Parts: sequence; structure tokens; C-alpha cells
Amino acid sequence: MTHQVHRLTVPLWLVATVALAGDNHTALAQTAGSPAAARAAHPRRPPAAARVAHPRRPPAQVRPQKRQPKRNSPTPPPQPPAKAAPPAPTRGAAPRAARPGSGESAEVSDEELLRQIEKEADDSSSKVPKTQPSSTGGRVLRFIQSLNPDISAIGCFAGAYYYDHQLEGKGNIVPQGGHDPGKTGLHLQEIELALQSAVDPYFRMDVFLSISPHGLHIEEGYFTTLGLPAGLQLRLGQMFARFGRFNQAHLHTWSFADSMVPVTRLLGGEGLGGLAGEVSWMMPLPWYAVLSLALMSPTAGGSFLGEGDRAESFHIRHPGHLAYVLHLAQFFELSANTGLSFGLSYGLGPNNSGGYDLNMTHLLGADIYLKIRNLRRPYSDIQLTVEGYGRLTQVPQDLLFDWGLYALASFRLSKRWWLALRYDMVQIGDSSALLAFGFAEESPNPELPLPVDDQHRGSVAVTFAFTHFSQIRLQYNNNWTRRLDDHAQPGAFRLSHEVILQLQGNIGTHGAHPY
Amino acid sequence: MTYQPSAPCRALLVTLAVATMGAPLLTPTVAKAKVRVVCTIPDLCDIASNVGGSLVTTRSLGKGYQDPHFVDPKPSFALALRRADLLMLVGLELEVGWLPRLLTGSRNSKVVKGARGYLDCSTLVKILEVPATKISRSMGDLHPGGNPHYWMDPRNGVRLAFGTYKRLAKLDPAHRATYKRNYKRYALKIIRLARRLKRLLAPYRGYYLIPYHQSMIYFIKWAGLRRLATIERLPGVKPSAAHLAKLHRLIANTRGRKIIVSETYYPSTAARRVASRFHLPYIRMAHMVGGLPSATSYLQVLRHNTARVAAALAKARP
Repeated sequence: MTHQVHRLTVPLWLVATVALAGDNHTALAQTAGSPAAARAAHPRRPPAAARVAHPRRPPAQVRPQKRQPKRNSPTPPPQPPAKAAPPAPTRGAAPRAARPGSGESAEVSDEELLRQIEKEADDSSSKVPKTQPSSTGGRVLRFIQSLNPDISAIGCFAGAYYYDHQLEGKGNIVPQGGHDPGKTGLHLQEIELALQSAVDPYFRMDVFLSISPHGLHIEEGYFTTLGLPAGLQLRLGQMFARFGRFNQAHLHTWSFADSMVPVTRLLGGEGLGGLAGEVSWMMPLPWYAVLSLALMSPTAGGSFLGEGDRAESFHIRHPGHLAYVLHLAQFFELSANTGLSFGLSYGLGPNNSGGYDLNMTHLLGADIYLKIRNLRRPYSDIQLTVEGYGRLTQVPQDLLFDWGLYALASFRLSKRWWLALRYDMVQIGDSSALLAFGFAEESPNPELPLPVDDQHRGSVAVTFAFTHFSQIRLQYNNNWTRRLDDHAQPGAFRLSHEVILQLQGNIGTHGAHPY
Repeated sequence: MTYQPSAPCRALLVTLAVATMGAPLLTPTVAKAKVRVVCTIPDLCDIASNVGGSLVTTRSLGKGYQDPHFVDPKPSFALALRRADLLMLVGLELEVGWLPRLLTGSRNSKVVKGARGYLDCSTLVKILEVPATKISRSMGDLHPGGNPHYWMDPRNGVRLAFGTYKRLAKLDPAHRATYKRNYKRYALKIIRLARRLKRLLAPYRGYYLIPYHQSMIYFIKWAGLRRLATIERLPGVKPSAAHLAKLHRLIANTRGRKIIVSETYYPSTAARRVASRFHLPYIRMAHMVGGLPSATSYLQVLRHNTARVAAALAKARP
């Protein structure tokens, strides 16, 4: 069937192509039957080696532009470097065109040519799938044309070395995010498996599975509506809350191999995420402004109920037992080269300290992001991000306040090189009170189990990208941490050095990342 | 125990209610005057504005001097798409790294894939370099559907104009006749220009272009030239020393005039090095409208590129 259609459409198309190409094709048609004639007409034909030993011949086979008459020579003779002076038709004069099937040439006016192109376009739109290539290419296209979602896997592997001379080789005491390489050794941080596609004209679904030595878990998996009126959009499922910028970012998009201290310690080991329903509204303003409200399971993140026994036995009895996250994102395109985004976030949910009496945790966030990229020099840009977080924890007879921030500067130095600098910190208001209510984080080191308190960290990372799809990163952290002593009082700051080497690779089609 | 929502809870619920109910009131309901066309590259916008005339407004997300593979998905683009009646994209996964997320974020059902306002322009033209075997990224950043830089062939320019006219006529049938008139006038302009340019290139038929990236193949085929190799080792992969050595051998062993060309947004160092090593002319071509200051429209891009190539080939050593 396909071949029949081709026979119908190709001659018309050939006419148009040949006519537009001018006498070039006429010459080809005239020499087609005789290789000897072809050679004679091509005194500057390159040596055979030049044609055969083609180092950059793309693996993709070039789709034939036109159907050639059958010839003895297996390869079409190249176009002659036209020794003879080209015919100099007057302006607007019709070039010669081969009449398909006859080998004769015909005068085709501009209007006639246009009609032929239109007819050909109409024919192809009504009879064959568009972009139908030659039969070989067609097989491949049929292979590509499937209803499978976009599937990709991104692997992040890391080797880490921690050194704290006071610990005498007992490892580190620094609390880590869910994907961070937590101790000296080799780590599979994550293999992210992403499945993304439209469900139907109304929804799309994005699923991100995280596979690591800890098992497989659903990092995100949500439906998004595609066409609600009035700038509204719903997301339903498991998701990272829109709380600042970093909280929504996946591991492979980070500028560093590990998470931000304030996110890990104030929002949760893997940030603030969980089962949620979210409505967002693109406000009818001259600039980009999106307001979103998410209703989340109270087990989301680490600052609400968390994931312990307490969370499992907790039953939602009224809306106040849910967690809420409100976010406002704004973006200002200062120029073609400069963009500034600005966000405010607020989270509210029950915490562990109050049974069903609704002791609440309030999360506050503000973020600012500036990107300067000279579009004329695509391989250089500067990105500056500052995010601040605050946490108000209501406990019986007290309100505890902790806060933290990070400042990140990322520089693209060339097509393949990036440099990133970071300072991040967290200030814990009253660690002993947090400890009493079970909020304080324990050290990951079983030999030094006492909870950690304030933390300050400076980092530098250099990233080299082999291609757009793979990169290697070397990172150094200068980490100052203090923990509670045996009397539950903050001790002195102590320094640990951390070196991380990370390798990332991506296979498959992965969806676009946010700005 | 009866539940009394706390003050923050009440505030949140009120905000949600206002946001949901007030949204339709706040959304502008001005009668649609013009068809708002958003394109991913400026060439499509130029064609659309020639076909649509004063009946359309156009906005291109990418700039002509920018690599269309790596456009930043700025949130302001989602805002532009939110208000669009027609999205014209190159397709063939050229924009896969940035457009899909903007489309989802735009919340505009008129321009989602499959809707009338979604025009994948690769469906209008003849596609070259469609892979004949299963590809992998070890072959470079290949496009499974074929080479997406098709607008550099004026024949495809005519086809794009025709497809644009058809789609605009569908979206705005009241002005079908105007679109048709504009399209005819514009398409004939392209055809006449293409014929003139072909005559300019006729003495150089069969000679070689050595482009940086694979984006020139449509121009090369139309112009009756040939591609000897690319400076890039593989699509999207920087040239290695070994590849450049191979390229040197190939250039030395191939007779005929050769010139080196690159798009304005690719680094010129390697291309210049090869050009100076063999005393080959090196030129930068405007890949899109705005790629160079003189390339102010689609027709100018064709004119400019052809003139540069012809001049460089005239200078090249025979």
C-alpha cells in the first residue's frame, strides 16, 4: 500500500524538486544512462578514496531526495564542477525541468511550480503519513512511532572520602540527605527511572522512580492537567512540594553531588515531598506569576509527622490534620540575556509533639535566582541562587525557631566546564528541646550517636561534561558541625573535610528541566 | 472534640476559594483581534508574519543567533504560550530539551500536541538524513526523525508557507482569502529568489562545504554542493585531535574547491584552525533570521548565505 502511494506521489514531487533545482537535475538525467559519459562530464570528480573513506559519514542513511532512473553505476555520479558557463536565463525565466517518465524537459513557470508544490503537499497530507521517508527509513519510523512514554534512566555514582582528625577514623558525624554519599566509600546515589507522557488530551503523567541500594521508591509520580480554563492547573499524586527552588530539583540537576544543608535538615532528608493534590494558577499579570496551593499528606517531609511509628498510627480526622504548602513563583525577563525569578513559600502541618491536639510546624521560604547568559555566546553563563528557610515548631509550652540558607554561584566556563561555589548553613534554635520531642537528627555515625546542632559548610565543585548526556564532577566540602554533648548542650564546632567524585550518565529521552 | 480551624488554616482556605472563584473574573476577556502565533525559531515567525500579514502577531521564543537545541525554558515563554493561538515548532526533537515543559506549564489546551494550534512544521517538508538503522547516542546527538534544520532549503520554505497558510485558514476561516493571497505572493517571492540564487551558485556545483555541525545539509543539497565532512566528530560532540587529523588527510586527498562554514552560535576555533591549515576560506552562515545582522528576514537569510558561499567558493583554490 505504501509503495502504491509512493508511486502516485513521487512523480509530482520530483517535478517540483527538479524544477526548483534548475538545470542541475537535467544534467544528471542526461548522464544517468552512461557511466562513461558521467565520467567524461565530471573531470573534477574526487578520487574514489575521498568518497569511500568518509570519516564523518553519519550513521544515518540519507534519505534519497529523488527517485533515480535505473542505472548501471551503483552510485550516482556526483554533480560536475560545471566547467562550462552556466546558462544565464533572464530573470524570471523558467528553468528546464525533467518531465517524469519521459526524460524530456519542460518549461515550468513560477506559478505552475507553486501549484505543483501545493498539489504535492495536499496529496501527501491526504494519502500518506507526513514525513514518510523511503522504505528503509519508514521501517525505522514505524519503530519509533509507538505509544510508549518517554523513558530514561539517569545514573549517579559517587566515591566519597571524609576526614575528621578528631574522630580518629571513625567516619563522619554529618547528617546527610537521602541521596548523599554519607561515608567514605563508593556509593550508588541513585538510578532515576523516568516515564513521561501525555495520558490523553486532558492529562499527562510523570513518574520518577529512584533505585538505590536502599531499594526502589517512588520519588515522584503525578498527573498534571493540560487544559483547565483560567490558567488553572492541577497536579495529583506523589510529588515534591513547590517550596523554593531546590526542593523540586532532582539529584542529576544539582550543581553539587550532595544536597543543601538547610533543605536536608529543615524540610526532610529528601526534601518536602509526599502524596498531594495541588492547584496552581497562572495569574493574569503582565509578568509570569504562579500561585499554588498543595494539600499534602502530613507524613510529607521531615518537619511534619515524618515517617515513624507515630505517623503510621496517625489518622486524618479533619482538614487541620493535613499539611498545606502555599507558593508564589514570579519571573522577570530583564533582557534576552538576563532572567530573575523570585519565590515565596509557606508550609503548615501537624508535628509529632502534640498528639491530635494540633501542634503545628510552620515552614517559611524565600528564594531568588538570577541567570545571566549571553545568548550569542551559548557556552557561558552565570547563575546565582539564594534561598532562605525558616521553621517554627510548636511544642507544648514553647515555640522553637530554626533557620538556614544557602547561596550558590554557578559559572559555565566553556562548552564542557562548570565551576560552582556554595555556602550553606543551618542554625538550630534549641537543639535540646528538639531532642526532647524527638525532632533532632541523630548523627549517622553509630559510634557517635549524639544529635547534631548548627552546621556551616563551604563547597566548591568542578564539573566536566563529556557530552550533554554524561559528566564527571569533583567536589570539596569544608564542613563545620557541632553536636550536643552528653549534657545536651551544644559543643564546639569541628571541621571535617569531604571530597566527592561523582559520575552521571543519562540514557533515553528525558523531559526538559525547569528554568 | 469539635474541630475549630486555626487562623492560618482559615486564611488558607479563604485564599484557595478566592483564587478559584475569582480567576475567571480576573482573566482578560477582550475579543480576539489577531491570531497570536508563537514560534520556536524566528524563521517560522517570519514566514507566519508574511502569510498572516496584519492579521497575526508573532513571537519567537528562540533568537536567531542562539543554538535552537539549547534554549532556556524561561517561565516568560510559558506566559507567551498561554496566550498563543498557534504554536509553530521545528519538530524532530529539536526542541525536546526545552519546549515540552513550557507547553505543560502554559496550561493552554489550544497548543498542546494534537490540537489545531499545534503545528509541527517538520510534517510539512521533505526530511533528510532519516536514520536507516536503530540509532544510539554513541553516534552523537542524532535526531531519530531526521535532520531538523530543513528551513535552509528554500523549497522547504515554500512548503512551510503553504502549511502555515492552510493552518491559519483553519484557525481563522473568515480571512482565508487574505491568507491565500499573502501566501501566494510570498511563495512566489521565495521561488524567484531561489532561482536567482541557484544561478549564482551554478558555477560551483559539486564543490565541497565542510560545515561545523550537520545543520547545513539542506542548503548543501539544494545548492548542488557536497558535504565533505563535518568539523564536529559526531553531532554535538567536539572534534577530537584524531578526528581533526583524519579531516586534514581527507582535505589533502580530495580535489575540488572546499570551504569551511559554521553557524554563528558554534565555537569557531576548530573551524578556523582547519581553514588556516589548508588555506581554505572560512565563513559564518546565518542559520536563522537574526543569526547575523544582515539576516533580517527569511529571504535575507537565503540571500545572505548564498552570496557568502558563492563568494567564498570563488576565492577557494581550485
